[in-house]
Amino acid sequence: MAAQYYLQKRIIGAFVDFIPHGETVDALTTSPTVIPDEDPEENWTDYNMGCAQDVQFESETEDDEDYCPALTGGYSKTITRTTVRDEIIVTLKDPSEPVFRLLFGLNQKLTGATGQQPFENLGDREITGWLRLRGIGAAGSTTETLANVKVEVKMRISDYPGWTKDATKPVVAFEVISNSFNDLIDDGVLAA
Amino acid sequence: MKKTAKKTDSQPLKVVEKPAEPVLVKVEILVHRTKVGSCICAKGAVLPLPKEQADALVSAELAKIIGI
Repeated sequence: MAAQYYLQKRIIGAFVDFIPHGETVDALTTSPTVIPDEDPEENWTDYNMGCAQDVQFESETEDDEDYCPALTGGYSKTITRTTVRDEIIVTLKDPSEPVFRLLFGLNQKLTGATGQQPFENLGDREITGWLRLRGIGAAGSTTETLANVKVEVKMRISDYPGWTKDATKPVVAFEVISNSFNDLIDDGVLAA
Repeated sequence: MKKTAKKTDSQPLKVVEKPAEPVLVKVEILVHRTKVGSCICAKGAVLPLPKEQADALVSAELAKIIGI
């Protein structure tokens, strides 16, 4: 029987594209029920968030503990763990329009022309949309796209380092929303 | 020096015709993962589409017209 785990040392680069709901792609408005495809590729890359320096995956779980008596005496503990939330945390090199939109609590995207009231959004400062996260191995995207994940998400600012003499590198969190269009293509893991 | 106004030939006004805007109709997608243009649509998605594109989806039984 052949080895099943496709072991290989890998350096993985992340590429992040985020299309907020309400954007127009090929004359259609994106929404939870309308997702752009990759033909042409620019449908996604036009919404690239720039250099992703670091990507972390976090899951939030809740545990329920039970102590059950054993016929041989004593009790044994079992834990029922439920995953209640998944987040993808990305450290970006460049602040971008959605980051400033969230930072200033705006209800609309920045237009560059019409003024908006800052900090008007007193609710959850988030942008829902479609996230495409690609993990590319050292051999490049043609042969080593390890994962191409498309998921509906809520984007929030996780950490904003402020305005100082140093370059501002925002950290954003993408909370995954359950959607039947959520998709993972993982061919690169098996082929490389 | 005496200035003289230049005579210009009067030209007939050109009538600029605007291209007719496509008639949009509202359709509801009937089949999950229906491809419309560069997007993929879920069952139940409601979209405004040009009439020709809507008719093509309706004839393929992928959508129904629900309004204009």
